Amino acid sequence: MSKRISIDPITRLEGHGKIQIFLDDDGSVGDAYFQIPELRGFERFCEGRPIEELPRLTQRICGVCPEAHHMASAKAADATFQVDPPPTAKKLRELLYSAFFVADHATHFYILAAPDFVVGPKADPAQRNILGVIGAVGVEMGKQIIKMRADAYEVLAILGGKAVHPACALPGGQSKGLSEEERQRVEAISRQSVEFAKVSLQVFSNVVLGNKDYLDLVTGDVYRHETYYMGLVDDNNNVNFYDGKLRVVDPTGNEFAKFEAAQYLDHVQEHVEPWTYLKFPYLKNVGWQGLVDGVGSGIFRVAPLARLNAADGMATPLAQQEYERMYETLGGKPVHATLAMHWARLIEMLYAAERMVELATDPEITSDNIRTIPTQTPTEGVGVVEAPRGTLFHHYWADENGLANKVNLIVGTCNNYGAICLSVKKAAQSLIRPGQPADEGLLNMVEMAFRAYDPCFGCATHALPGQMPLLIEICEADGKLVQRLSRGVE
Amino acid sequence: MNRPPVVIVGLGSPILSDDAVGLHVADRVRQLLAREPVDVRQAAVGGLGLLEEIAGYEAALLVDASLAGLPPGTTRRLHLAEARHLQRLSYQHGISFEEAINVGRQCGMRVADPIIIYAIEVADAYTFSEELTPPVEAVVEGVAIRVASEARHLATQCRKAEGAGCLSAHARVGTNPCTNPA
Repeated sequence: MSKRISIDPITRLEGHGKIQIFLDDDGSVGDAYFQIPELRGFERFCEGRPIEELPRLTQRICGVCPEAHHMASAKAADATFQVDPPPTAKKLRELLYSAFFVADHATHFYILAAPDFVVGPKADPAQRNILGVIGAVGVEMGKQIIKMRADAYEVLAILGGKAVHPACALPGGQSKGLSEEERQRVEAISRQSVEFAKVSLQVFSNVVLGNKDYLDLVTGDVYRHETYYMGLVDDNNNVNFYDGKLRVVDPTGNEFAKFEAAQYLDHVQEHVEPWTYLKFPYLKNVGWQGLVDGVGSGIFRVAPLARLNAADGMATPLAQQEYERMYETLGGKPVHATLAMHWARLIEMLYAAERMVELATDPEITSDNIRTIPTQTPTEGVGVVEAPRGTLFHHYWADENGLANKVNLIVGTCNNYGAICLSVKKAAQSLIRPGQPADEGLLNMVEMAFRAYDPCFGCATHALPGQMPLLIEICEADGKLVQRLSRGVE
Repeated sequence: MNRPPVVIVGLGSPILSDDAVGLHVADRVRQLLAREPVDVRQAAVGGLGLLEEIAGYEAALLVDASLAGLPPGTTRRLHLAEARHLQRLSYQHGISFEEAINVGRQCGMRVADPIIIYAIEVADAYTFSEELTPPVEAVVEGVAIRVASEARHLATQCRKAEGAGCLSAHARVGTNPCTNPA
């Protein structure tokens, strides 16, 4: 008779998730499900709302990455109104967005990821947290982390009107420009952010790369999958968070597709499974083969490592150096090691900081030409940005009065869902052995498989518990019901 | 410019029905304390984000929605240790508000003390709506008056303590007697 191990709730994860691991009679892992018992519903709330309100409304999906939704929504609103913002408006948006990336990536690394490496993956859970990290790296570093976050959010407040949930982006541009006095403050913070990112990469180098056991963990087979990768790239195929074309590379690193955001439905389709409320996006032109990796499976990955794999390089000099160092250390492109996501995240933090400096010192950044007033009747538009957790799509359809009559959102965590399930199953099968008790440390190492993706399932599901009855049935491979979850269902 | 000693933070999402009750109370407190030396803020954050909202103040009053099975509108005045069950204070992308405060203090950050939470029991914090339910709407004014009154009291104590040269935040607001005046 099979046994079941549950990890519920998963720690250091926004939203709620549940992993269920099914053991065969001999005690080895037969299967593992990463289940999302939440339901989407936010899109419907957006229907009937003026398109120009959506940049402020959609960011309320989540308290962790509202800036990403604000940006994707603003771009979708631009497209729906068929209006092109002036260059300064685009630069102001990208400057805000870069500051957000610095704060968000730093938060993930030090608070969510570093406890596993700095304190140890099997350390006492009471110590395996941010306080344990500060205890190990020193209080001065802790002060720097807190100061850097505060400074980044000051930039967000200057540019967006509020530190969280900005209110600056409108169809056609921005509602607020940047004064010279503000620019000087932003430039100073940007330069400090570059230094902070450099120090963070040094911490990673010392703690992870300098420890053979950890390096083996990163490069080993437990956390490895050969998949397709997707990310936004600029005209030179360098990583870009705000603008460009979507590029997909295959598991050997060759370009598989490159397309404009508006064409995403030609390339991305969603698969539904009966045991989870989250859909599985996959590459339409490869096809859905189930939860398997390889060149024949349409599962693709997004977020930091995927962006670096999908690009040819970084657009700023220090980040490019680190990019080259990572691929040289890990054996060339593409890197399939899921835990390398942490290194890629820090390289992106350095790129974001360098980009902040470039934009804060751009002569155009203080121009007052920050908005093109829309004059067309809104129709339909797609906006895409790279959120810290991966490629984020907003797609709006408007009626003749400019009210949204249909909204589709595909968030970064959704795009990674298939890969996350693969990673959890493989880690469970590799780490949990017959006859060996699955202690907390071991189960944490299973959790590390998805934590690398920095998933945000509250955001991905746009959860609305209580909106309607929920019923989930989880089955074994032979179809036998092993658990029934319900909310509002007798 | 010196910041006032007391901050009031109304917490909630403005589009999740009663979850917004903290924001509604903050709006009203801002009117009641328009001429007083206190800051009134509104936020939809927890963890480190909330720590940043109250950093640098002597005392903080938080107003948040609660789902503890009590009759809607029931309002409890809690100290931080009694408020761990509140969703927004317990979890925010992996770090709770209490953990964030410990991090801040360990790193030498000036963190408000005391931190008082007004937890308002709500009927519906999950339906997308910009309206409060009637039993929750009915208590907004009364809670706002209580919060404003406590904020005035704390601000007065802080001023007196500052006048006496006491450097301890605890002593300024009376949690502990001031034993070491400068």
